Amino acid sequence: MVLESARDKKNKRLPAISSFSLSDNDHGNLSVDWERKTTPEESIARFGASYKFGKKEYKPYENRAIYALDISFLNSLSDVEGVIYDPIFYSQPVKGRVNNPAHSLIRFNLALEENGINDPETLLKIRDHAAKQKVSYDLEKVHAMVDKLRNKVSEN
Amino acid sequence: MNRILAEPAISYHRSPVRSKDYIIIQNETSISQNLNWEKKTHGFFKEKNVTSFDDSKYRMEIAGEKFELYSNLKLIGDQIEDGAEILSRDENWDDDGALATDTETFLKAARFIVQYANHVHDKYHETLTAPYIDILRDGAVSVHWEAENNAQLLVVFKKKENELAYFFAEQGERKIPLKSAIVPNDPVDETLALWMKNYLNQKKETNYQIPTKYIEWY
Repeated sequence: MVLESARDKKNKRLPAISSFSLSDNDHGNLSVDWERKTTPEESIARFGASYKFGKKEYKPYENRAIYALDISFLNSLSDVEGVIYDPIFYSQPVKGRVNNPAHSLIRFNLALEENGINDPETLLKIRDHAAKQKVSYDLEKVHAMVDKLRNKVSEN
Repeated sequence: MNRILAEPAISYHRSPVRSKDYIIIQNETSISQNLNWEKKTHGFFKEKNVTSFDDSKYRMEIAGEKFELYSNLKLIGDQIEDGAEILSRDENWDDDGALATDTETFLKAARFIVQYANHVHDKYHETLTAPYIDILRDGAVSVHWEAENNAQLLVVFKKKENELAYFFAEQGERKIPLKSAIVPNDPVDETLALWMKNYLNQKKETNYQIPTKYIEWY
């Protein structure tokens, strides 16, 4: 799931290369959803029912898009250590945190990269691969799902 | 038996083609009017400079630093100004923990673009296409060129001081790669500049074609 900023849209640079880059807060892992365990609408809805990083505000989700990445492609990249299924479940409902049975991680082998995270070759290859595989979704369905998820936690 | 091998001799031969052997063809009309054209050119001509070479410059100021660019490179200057938008992004700009960048990192990228675009213009009389400046989630600044023939170049300027700027370039159907690093603010890396000149130049529209009647003479 990637951010589609107004500037990237204006310049026709979608998906933006930055979408596949890592922050120091990611600890070498890029979070993704496994398509076998989710629908595109559910993925976006979980995002919209989650709090922003370090804040108690819900994330805006209308400016997000989904692109597919083949696991075999990811495994062919020299600095991808592997793709790991890593579902998230909270023992108690937590506002702003949503269970994610599809959550997975693309784990980068940073030891192989002399330039640390965000190697330009890897970024370009992932972006070019993703650009061919945009996944469409029904925004109306997402709105309803987000409302339900946000309210579900509030009721608890 | 001890033998000392002499260093191989290197001889340097000047090209038999001298600058006066070239003519700069302005347009087709002037050729047809030049009756001695065949004798003058010895079969050589400089087609690439059909369009005029504009050496006027303009100045712009970005993030407190002044830049000078050839007027032909106005689109590149515009893209740098557009890219300055990333300086307004605060920490967590993607709501997912992305880091902000800083002025110095952005300026490293801007200086690189201006330096290489001016150099390619100066040395090869070619105009580069405009790149796209963006921010990465660790606060690094990326500079991305895309051109015809599947050519693209991505340079990443890290937020830390004294860090190399790594780049990856590829072109053609077979995506032949070029991967290395430059030291920001250092003199131009001629290998990279030549690659940019070859693959990231704006295609010029030329109205010149070799007149059919002269082709056999070649």
